[in-house]
Amino acid sequence: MSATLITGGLVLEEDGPAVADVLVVDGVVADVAPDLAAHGAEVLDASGCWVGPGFVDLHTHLREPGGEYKEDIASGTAAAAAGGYTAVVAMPNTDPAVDAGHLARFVAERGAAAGYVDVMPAGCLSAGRRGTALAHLDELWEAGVRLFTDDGDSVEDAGLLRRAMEYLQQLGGVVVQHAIDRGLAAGGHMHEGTVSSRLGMQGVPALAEEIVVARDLALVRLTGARYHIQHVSTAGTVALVAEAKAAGLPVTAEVTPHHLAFCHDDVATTDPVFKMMPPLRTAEDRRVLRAALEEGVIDVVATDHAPHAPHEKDVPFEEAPNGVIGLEWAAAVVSSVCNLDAETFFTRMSITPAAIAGLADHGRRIGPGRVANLVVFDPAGEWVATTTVSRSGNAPYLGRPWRGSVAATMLRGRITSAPVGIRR
Amino acid sequence: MAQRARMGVLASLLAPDRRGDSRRRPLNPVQRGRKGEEQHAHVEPTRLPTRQGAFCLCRVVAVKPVMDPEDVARALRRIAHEVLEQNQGGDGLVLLGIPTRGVPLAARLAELLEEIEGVEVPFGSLDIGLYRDDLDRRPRTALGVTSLPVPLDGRTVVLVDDVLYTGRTIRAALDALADLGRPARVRLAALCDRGHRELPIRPDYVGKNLPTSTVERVMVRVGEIDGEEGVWIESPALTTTREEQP
Amino acid sequence: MRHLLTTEGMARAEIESYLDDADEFVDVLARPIPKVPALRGKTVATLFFEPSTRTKMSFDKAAKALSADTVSFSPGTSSLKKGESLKDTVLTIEAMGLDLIVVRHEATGAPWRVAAWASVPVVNGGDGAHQHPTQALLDSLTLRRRFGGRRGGLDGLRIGIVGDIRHSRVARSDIHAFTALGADVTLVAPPTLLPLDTTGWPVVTAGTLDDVLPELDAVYVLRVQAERGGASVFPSFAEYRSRFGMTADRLRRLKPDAVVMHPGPMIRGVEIDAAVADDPRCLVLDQVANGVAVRMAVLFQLLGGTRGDASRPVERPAERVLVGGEQ
Repeated sequence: MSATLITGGLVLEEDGPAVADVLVVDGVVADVAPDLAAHGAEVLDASGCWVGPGFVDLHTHLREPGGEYKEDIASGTAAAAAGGYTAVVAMPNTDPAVDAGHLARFVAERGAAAGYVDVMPAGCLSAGRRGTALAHLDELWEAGVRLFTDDGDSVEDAGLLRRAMEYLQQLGGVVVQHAIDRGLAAGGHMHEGTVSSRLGMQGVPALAEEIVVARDLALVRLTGARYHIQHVSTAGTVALVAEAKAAGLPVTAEVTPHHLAFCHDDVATTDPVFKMMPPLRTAEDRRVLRAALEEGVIDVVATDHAPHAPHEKDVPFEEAPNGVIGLEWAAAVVSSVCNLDAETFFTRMSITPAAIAGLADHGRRIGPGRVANLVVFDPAGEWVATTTVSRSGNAPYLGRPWRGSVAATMLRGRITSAPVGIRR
Repeated sequence: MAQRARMGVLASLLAPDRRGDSRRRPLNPVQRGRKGEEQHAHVEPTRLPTRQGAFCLCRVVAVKPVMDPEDVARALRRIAHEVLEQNQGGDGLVLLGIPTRGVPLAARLAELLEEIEGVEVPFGSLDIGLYRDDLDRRPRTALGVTSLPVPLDGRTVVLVDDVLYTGRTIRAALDALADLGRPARVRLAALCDRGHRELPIRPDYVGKNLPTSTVERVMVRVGEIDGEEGVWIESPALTTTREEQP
Repeated sequence: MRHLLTTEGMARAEIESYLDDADEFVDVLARPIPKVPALRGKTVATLFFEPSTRTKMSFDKAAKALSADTVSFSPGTSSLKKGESLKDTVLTIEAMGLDLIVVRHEATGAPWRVAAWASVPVVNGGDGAHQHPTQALLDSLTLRRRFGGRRGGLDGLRIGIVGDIRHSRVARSDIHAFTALGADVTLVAPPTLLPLDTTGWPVVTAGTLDDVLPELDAVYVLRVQAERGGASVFPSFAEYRSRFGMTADRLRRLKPDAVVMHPGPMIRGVEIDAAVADDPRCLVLDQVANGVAVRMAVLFQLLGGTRGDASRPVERPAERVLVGGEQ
């Protein structure tokens, strides 16, 4: 029998946050109350910290199969655990792409073998992500896939998207869109605006995202399918989402930590660590994104953790691939730049993402009988990172101070991450 | 050459950041004490706290005037006579002042030569910034103007500088001259010679010999550039005084 | 250690110091032996990833006039064709013992990457459509020598930049340098060739050349860049010429003292008529000559006095702190 007692933290219980101890026995929460007795359990001092459901990331690139030199499932999920995550949804734009059941099962099994977090594979919407024919949606569903996306590319063919929506609406799956119009974005490396004009660089206009979202929402209205927008980056998209929700459409939206933290002024350094798609937008867009996350117009934080090897990113800006990693800093960034109380924080980081993905054992408030997938988070802890747990180092967060650190992560009662400084 | 024309030429020779006012201003000797008297000036106090109150550590500089404006004028006049004597007249002479302060000194020397001998001696400037041997070692300063009033071939060039010290400046000036022409002979006039030569270079005409130690600084000021005029030697000294805790 | 990567944010005093030194180098280049030993023993490497004859030769000449040695790398014949990364190329050539790198690259920001990897000064010879600082310096010197003599800046001078400004690194560098030196800059181009967002730029924009022509002291003509999609953003070369070309007729309408400039190479008959190019008021050849002097000034400033802090005065006697007394 293994037992852990987490003492003195602000625990997100069924009725709300309260200071209490949490006793975990054999992977399940046994009791939640103040001043519990240890009875031989390992004691974890969580005073000053929040104790809540482990974070759930709806958007992670684990790069396995095919891209293991950047990251693999083991190293990526280790980074996730370091960042307080207990579950991640792995994006299917691997090599080969996850457009069939056996590939989805492979990813899930590798995740289980590594043992850091629960890995739920996402599946492609179109075969091979080519955007011409549907992927084996049934097979993927049988293999446990619930989110479907061609992430990396948007589904441009409205007819194909409509068929996918109609099909998945019956199953209850979620259509997830990487909303960037290929024609409007062609040749662009950063946000089209004042900074790109100063640098003389081709940019991607905000419209490239908004035009796809606007079209897709019309299809959602037609089909009633569940629809989730990845990495919202513009104020215009936020407005479209708010309007759709007001109309009662089954729409959810995510925002990345880097879009919350940075803007296109950071790109002026031409350091490729600030290059991703969609690009960093204006400071005003960033302000709207933060407010939207606080208010709930944007439902969740999702990292779009996108590892690239140093030799790929250490090149001139225009030649670098898009993407930055973020699993290790997501919670810290949200804590540093947004004003969220414990309830809202865990809603955005854990509860809602788990609900969207249908992960029953994750994102649950702490109560007796529930699986112990927890995180202990210090909202005031200041820290600076100089290295990464991820195999790749393309993180714009390095070398900067952030306020909010993960004290411990627990997957089914087992501590998966205990950074230096954990108090026992 | 008319005085005004000479001043115009001088103005064009002074580098842009020195251009200011090239007129000879009425000389206002700064009150630094009479010649021979040492003055003390407080520079850069550093307060060092200790348990028993503070020490005030001061880098003090002793400043000793060695030439006043009259001395400078007399020295230049004597140099002018020596130049004419050695050259047996004023023919074939070209004066090249080494920026910065060598340039107005060369202008004045030319004026004196014309006054004494009645012959117009061309003068210009020779910047050594591109020929120094210590480019890697010292902070960069702006390039001065190099302006030759006449071709140098076959002429007697007299280099004019304010202070002769290690000789490296003159070595660089000789290299510069070699790239600019083939003078018949090159002579050197220095307002002060402070010794400590590092190269086998000797002056032909000296205003004043100043024995100095290497930790001292020789400061020359000329009216056309600095407003004031004279030569001072600056020596460092260190004293401490005790201060009461407030 | 200093680099010269951009004119953006350059203080007026810094620009003027390059121009002042360049004035001296113009004189050096006019000597019978146009060579000085100032950078003897130093090696300047040129790393040009975009085709260039004039800029590369100009840097080459400038280095040699300062008695520096030159080494040149071009992508066609080098290890880069074998897949070596830019970073490895820079580190490799630096390991061979070089003192300064001049780099031209089509990717914006490449010189900043090179400066991050290298431990020697880096000069931007042109990156993407972003910056070409030595061009701006030589353009500024040319205007200063023409209008101001050997001193100061370009105060009050009215300069019009005409052509494909959107894709022009020369224009971006010029705008910063000219305005820092006190000039008024007007951008003249069709909407498709103006930068998308000029908010906050210290310039005025105009849609037709004829409107602003009579007030300009200098017309700076840019190339129509076919390789950057020039023709595809404008109906035809003939139409471009009729609205924006510097024709002989437009030359006549300029102020008598006004001048015409061009960064080269010129396409006669499109953005500039042959008659204008050959007119004495066209300063293109002065620009080229001044270019060598300016690049000499840049190399001299970046490579002379690299060790040591310029703010520390020389000849200061050693200061030793002695603390004694009761503790």
